[in-house]
Amino acid sequence: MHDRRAVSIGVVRSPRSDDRVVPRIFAVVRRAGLFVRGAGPEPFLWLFSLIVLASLDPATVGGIILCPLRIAGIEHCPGCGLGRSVSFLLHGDIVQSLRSHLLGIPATILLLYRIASMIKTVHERTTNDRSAYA
Amino acid sequence: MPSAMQLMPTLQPDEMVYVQGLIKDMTDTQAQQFASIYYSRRKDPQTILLTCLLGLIIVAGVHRFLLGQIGMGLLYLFTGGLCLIGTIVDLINHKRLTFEFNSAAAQQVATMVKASN
Repeated sequence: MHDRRAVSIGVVRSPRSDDRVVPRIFAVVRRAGLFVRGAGPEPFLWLFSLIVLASLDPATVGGIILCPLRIAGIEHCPGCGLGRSVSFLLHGDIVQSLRSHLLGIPATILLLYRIASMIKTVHERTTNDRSAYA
Repeated sequence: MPSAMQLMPTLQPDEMVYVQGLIKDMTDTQAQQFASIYYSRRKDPQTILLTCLLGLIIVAGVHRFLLGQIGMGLLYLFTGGLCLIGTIVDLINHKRLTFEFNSAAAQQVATMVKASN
């Protein structure tokens, strides 16, 4: 039985044999492309920032001041330290994370949840399976 | 077959396609019911754009609250729109954000209409 999704997005019906590898690769790339187009830049932005926060060392204070509120003159906004808090958490240091900002853990969970829900929504939308609401 | 184009001409293009897919199996009365309920529940991309722009000037995250994403809204509120980067991305992305919300709303309305008939 052919995969319904592959048929519905118009991919060539390739029989399941190994010498049709190339069309199958095209199908995967096309599916990935559909996904990126449907999802937009947002999930990748959050993923990217999480990866950056997970790789940089939060203990060393950077010289570049990224916060626009601080550049504008506000020294201590309610979100101060959230970035470093998430970074600590992603490095496994929960104590430092809570010391930087109390809402660091919920913020990380929230971002991960947002990424997951966007992936799920796009996946549902690009899979033309209407049997769920028939 | 009911036509989304006739019933709801002010929809965004991808929204229109999606809604058409939802109402194609409905009767005309059902489709009209859908149209009136959906109109009151959908969000206009322009509203989202304008509230997002607020984030560049005064307070960030209002658009997220409008879209029902309270957690993200609070995050934006406390971090000045995630150091403005979140706000800028949302400005570029506002149509897709609205479509995400609207397609979920459309699905719910369609299920409601089909269930009550």
